Amino acid sequence: MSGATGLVVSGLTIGINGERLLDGVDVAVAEGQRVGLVGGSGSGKSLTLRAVLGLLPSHAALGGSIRWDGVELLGAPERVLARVRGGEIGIVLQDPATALDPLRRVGAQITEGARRHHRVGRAGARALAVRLAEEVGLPSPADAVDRYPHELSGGQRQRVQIAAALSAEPRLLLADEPTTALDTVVQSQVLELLARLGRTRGLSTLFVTHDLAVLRRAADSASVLDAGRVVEHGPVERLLTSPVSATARALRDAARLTSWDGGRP
Amino acid sequence: MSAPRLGRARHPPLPRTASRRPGRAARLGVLGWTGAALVTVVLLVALVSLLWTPYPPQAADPYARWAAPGGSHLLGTDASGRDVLSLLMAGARTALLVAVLGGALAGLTGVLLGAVGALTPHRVRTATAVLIDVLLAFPTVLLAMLLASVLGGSLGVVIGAVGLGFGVTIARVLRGEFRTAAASDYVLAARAAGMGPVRILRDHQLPAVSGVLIVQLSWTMALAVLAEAGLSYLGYGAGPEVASWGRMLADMQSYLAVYPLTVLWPGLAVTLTGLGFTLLGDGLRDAGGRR
Amino acid sequence: MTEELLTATELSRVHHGRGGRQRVALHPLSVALRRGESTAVVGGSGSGKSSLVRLLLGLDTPSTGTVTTGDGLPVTDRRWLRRTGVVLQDPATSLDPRMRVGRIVAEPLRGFRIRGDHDAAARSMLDRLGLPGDAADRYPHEFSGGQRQRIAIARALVHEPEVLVADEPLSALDVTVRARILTLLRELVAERGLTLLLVSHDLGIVQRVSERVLVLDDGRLVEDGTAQQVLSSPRSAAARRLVDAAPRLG
Repeated sequence: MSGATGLVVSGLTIGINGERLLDGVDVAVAEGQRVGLVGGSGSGKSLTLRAVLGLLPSHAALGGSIRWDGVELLGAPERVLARVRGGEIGIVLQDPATALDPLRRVGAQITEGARRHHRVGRAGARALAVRLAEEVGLPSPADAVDRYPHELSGGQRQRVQIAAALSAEPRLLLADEPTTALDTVVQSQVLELLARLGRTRGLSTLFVTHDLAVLRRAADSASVLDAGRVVEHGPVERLLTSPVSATARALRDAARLTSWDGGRP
Repeated sequence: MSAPRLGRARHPPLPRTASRRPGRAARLGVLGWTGAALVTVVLLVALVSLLWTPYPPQAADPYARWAAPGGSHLLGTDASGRDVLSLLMAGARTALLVAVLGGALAGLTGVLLGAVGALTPHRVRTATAVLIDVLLAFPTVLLAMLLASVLGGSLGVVIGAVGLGFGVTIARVLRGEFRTAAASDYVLAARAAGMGPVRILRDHQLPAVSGVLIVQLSWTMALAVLAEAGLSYLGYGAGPEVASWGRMLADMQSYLAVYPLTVLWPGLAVTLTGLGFTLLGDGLRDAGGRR
Repeated sequence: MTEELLTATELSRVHHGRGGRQRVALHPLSVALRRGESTAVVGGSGSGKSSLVRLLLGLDTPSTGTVTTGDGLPVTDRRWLRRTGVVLQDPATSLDPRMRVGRIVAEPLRGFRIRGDHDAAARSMLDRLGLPGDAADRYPHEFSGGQRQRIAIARALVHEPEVLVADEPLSALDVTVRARILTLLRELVAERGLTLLLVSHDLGIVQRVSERVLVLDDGRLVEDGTAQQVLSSPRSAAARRLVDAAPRLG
């Protein structure tokens, strides 16, 4: 397995202040795959994402292994993590209102990753910002890159976050409930965008959500988490039609109760 | 097949810990506790001085001028033969009196101006904000001198100047806090629940700003102690019949070259008391002013 | 013929920003709400739906137009507010963190100066909503998101209003919690004969609780019809977008 490309998380455990929050989680995202992590709040799904990027507090006790292209990231020196983080692996967070720096122009935030990881110059950075802004569908991209986050709508800010994650040309995108703070119309557009980027860039994604209706548009297979354990894994369509674990069934039933059923009131 | 009564579905047990308000953890930190200890010591000294001092603080003994420390006068005597320790102890009273009354007046000014500057209709609000900024630009010491030149120097003038001068600083901070609280969802919910503006102020907005107010008050009391000493030193504060650290400094400074120790004591008292209130304020802020 | 609950005529709201800039939150619109007809105001974020609801509750002052209740009172009359209960989107911010839950829930009883044992009324309401017995003595931060929204609903209903106004009551919640609160809302509406005025961008929710749908787009009322009609054959582009975007499982 050591030569495998992509992300392989195996037996990941996380304890904070003596409390075991993650208990032997296995997740793998091979080149070009779209994988989901689904579960309720407190199930450990966001924690897993953060662990991949080494973004947990220093007193967290970690066990197991997180391999990226066969290289162990757990306990890796900061030099290695810095190359991977925001470079080969990008991340999009839930709330675009807090994930962006309110005092910096959109263009500078989009190209931060590129400047850090690929030494892009000032003039090149602007051209890159405009190109990325266009790719993620920001309206009038040449103008948008000179704006500040508060001048954009929630959906546009989320597009900025995605553009920023793309700027260092990552091969894997981690998405932590990126559509939860958005209204349904914008949510749908952002999911469409992520799907398109997956196709055009051959980008793999690890997508965290609590909503199966979102999951089925964002991932092909998924692991269901409950209280820090993977209780079920399989293709998303199978999780929807015949979930096995009680957790997956509860998530499916909840989604059925709240999602569209064909316009019959 | 009736749907289960989901309303009663689950009673997840709550942690069996004592229920307490958030942000009130007693985690002052080492420096905060140091501040609290300093303030407590000064308070105790002031209380003791009401009942007992080694000598009556103002009793001049012409036969014991510039007595050396030790012996019957632990910290020595001053130029008129007054016991320095007794003066210091009585001075704590004056410092705390100004800190407490000045702080209270500043708090009142701050809450009133801050609330008016945040919660009234647009025009009044803006006018108040401008007023606050204008008053802020006016130095408190100058205000005290102005008051003293009209009314004559007294502790009342010091308290008034501290209350108004530092009250405006508090007002500016609280104005922002009141604005935030006024825009919060829980205030909207209270309005929807039929609560009038006065009751919303009492039940929601005052508690919301109280944490910040307490921190500000502690810092203001530090400034008040320094202001009292400074103004009394300049002759705008405590009269000759009142023991004051500032006055002691003024009385003794001409003899600084000959008896350097005598200036040390009142200086140290002012510094440590001011530091005490400042550290306490810092500690309170870190403990939970904001999460 | 259902009874008129509320009539809004030529209602609009313009916000004045710094330097004379104006932002139109709501273009003039007229609409009537009827008693017993659960109505949803739908639209994307920034469409003006929350602005409209605040005006209908008398919690905001319109730039033009009037809102009157069925019996001729102006909407700012407290007797109208007394007949409504309000649930906001995010229970993390709509409950005062410094107040005990029992006191939060009893707030409308104090606000509307209703006689009786406020504490007992709050406790029995909390019990009806499935919260633990000692909930009244605790502070909001000790509860999960779903429990907090139950507390907010308890506050909205404690004074037995006729109209329940819910502004995105589910969108800050997890899907499993969302389903439970949705079921609870439907139960309460049926059990108490409430008229539900729901604000939402999620038609998956709307189709389950509303009989009538008002569609707002960029501050304009672009569609007003029965839920059946609007959801199955939307006429406006905005309604079609919402239908297409509604989360679905198959």
